[in-house]
Amino acid sequence: MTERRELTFDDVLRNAGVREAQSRLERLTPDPATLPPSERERGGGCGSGSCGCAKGPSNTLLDKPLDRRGALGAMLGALAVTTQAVGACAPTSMESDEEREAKLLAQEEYFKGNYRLMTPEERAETVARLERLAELRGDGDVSIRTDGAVPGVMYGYAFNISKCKGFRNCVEACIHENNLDRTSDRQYIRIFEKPNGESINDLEHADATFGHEVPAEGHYYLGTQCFQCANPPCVYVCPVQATWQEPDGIVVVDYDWCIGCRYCMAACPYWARRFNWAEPEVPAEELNPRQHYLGNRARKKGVVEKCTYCIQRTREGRLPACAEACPTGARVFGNILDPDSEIRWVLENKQVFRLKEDLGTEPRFWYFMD
Amino acid sequence: MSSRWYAMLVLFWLVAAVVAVASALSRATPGGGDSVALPLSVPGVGVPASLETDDTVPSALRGVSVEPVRGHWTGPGGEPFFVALRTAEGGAYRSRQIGRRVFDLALRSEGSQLTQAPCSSCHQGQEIVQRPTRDDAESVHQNIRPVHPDETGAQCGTCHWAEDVGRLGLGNGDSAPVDHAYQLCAQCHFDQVESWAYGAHGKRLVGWRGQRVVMTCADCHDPHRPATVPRIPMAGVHLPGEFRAGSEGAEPAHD
Repeated sequence: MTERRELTFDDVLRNAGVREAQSRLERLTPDPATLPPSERERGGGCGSGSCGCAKGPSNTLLDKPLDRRGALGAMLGALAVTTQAVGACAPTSMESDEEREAKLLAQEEYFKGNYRLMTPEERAETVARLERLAELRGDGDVSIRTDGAVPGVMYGYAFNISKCKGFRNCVEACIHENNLDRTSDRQYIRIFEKPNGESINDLEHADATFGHEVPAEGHYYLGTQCFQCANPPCVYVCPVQATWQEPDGIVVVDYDWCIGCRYCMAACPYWARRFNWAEPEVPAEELNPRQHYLGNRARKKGVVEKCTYCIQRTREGRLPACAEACPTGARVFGNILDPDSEIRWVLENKQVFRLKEDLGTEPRFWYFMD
Repeated sequence: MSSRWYAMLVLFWLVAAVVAVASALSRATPGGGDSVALPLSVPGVGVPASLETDDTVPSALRGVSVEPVRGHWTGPGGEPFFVALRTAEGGAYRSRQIGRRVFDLALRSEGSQLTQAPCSSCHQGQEIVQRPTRDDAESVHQNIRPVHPDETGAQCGTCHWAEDVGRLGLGNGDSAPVDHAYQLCAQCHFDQVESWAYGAHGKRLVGWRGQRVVMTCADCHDPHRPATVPRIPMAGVHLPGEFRAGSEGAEPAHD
């Protein structure tokens, strides 16, 4: 009788042709020593170790403890690598080295984990990949930060409906700051025009597309965006936990984990979320290179995005782009945990209200009047 | 031997006493030991300092000088805040469109530009009147469209200090620099000025934390016609191209 042996995962991979694919890939991958220094630093190619698919003789992929998802990723990855390797070897292929590198990086990106479960090293790796991908796309020198919430800070926003005149400088600034899709006219902020005396809770019938001279006689203006609710329904309905609330109150989306089901959009009572029906397009010369992983970095087709109070700005102490651009001073932004902040003075001394308060979403975005 | 020890001890105590008295005196100085000297003529106004040029300062605001404001002009927490004054540096990019007016942030330091002559060099012996008597384009006051003074029944001399065109006359007989117009405006618009001092009115610059820098009244409001002038909004939703991004040729007012 032949000796029966427990089938290990290593055997599975070998049977699935992973080993063969890897050895083929090693032959294809340029030697790191021949790469220019800049590419070597940026983790160019597959030989840099930033990706786990093939790293020389010591196989990091198989040394890792693998869970179900990891195994699936490895197997599908191997399949993709094999396909690409075959494609690359074919004499008819017109693929350049950069295209191949972009494909490999995109494939690595596809199998990364949820942002909240990543170790700092994994975050650094994915940032390096995303920055390199942006460079390969022609977006130039993009820097993506991953800094977390500042302790003791909870962001709050106050909007003065007496002061807003509907100039929409905020909208324009937001588009440029957050790299919003230009082809679909993507906008996070809506400025509604309402006749004086009409209820603010009737925004369904308010005009948010006005193009006449503002301020119009007998009208007031009210802006909406994501209110970063303390009790966010959009977060609760997400089936894959691709959206969550940060400790400083900002509700963010992991664009690479979102499956595009749009439950969150249905759950949000303020129409704050936007869906990418097509690949977002931003002209490279207008691209804002100062980006945050959870903020204004490049989104893709089929995922949801939203206002993050300009997380890439506010976490380094700057004002959100809308508050900075507002020419009338209608927007007050600050830390509601700081009793000496301007926003606290507004909340304590002005008559404030929130939109659809009866829903219990507890927005951190107040409206007030002079 | 012992007398030498006593001498050293006495010397030590003398030095310690001097240091203690000096530190106590510096603490007793209003505003703290490192505060700027306050000119007597302008209570509450200190010496301008330039904004830091690090990454947290929007590029449109770099090089803008700020003056700390003390006295009863305090912001949240009772802390002095800083009134932004514009230096003459920089180009046309430093502009902010409010209505049809594009405010050039580089032009607001008016005090230094208005020192040519006192009003009394032309208006000598006369009461300073509201309107120029001649309506010709050569008049030095041609750019002034006095709406606000007309509505309130004010004359030039109600706000402008006749002895120095760079200063504004206050109701109590005092005067304030023209760059610190909030002291004048506060005489009537006390509600707005309270809101401004605590951050509900007006505009905070630079960032949401750290040093608080705000714009003053005349940075946004034309004192002679303070109301907002209507204009076509920016960034319309599915608007035709000619209506987009400010048809008045405005630059994006953000970093």
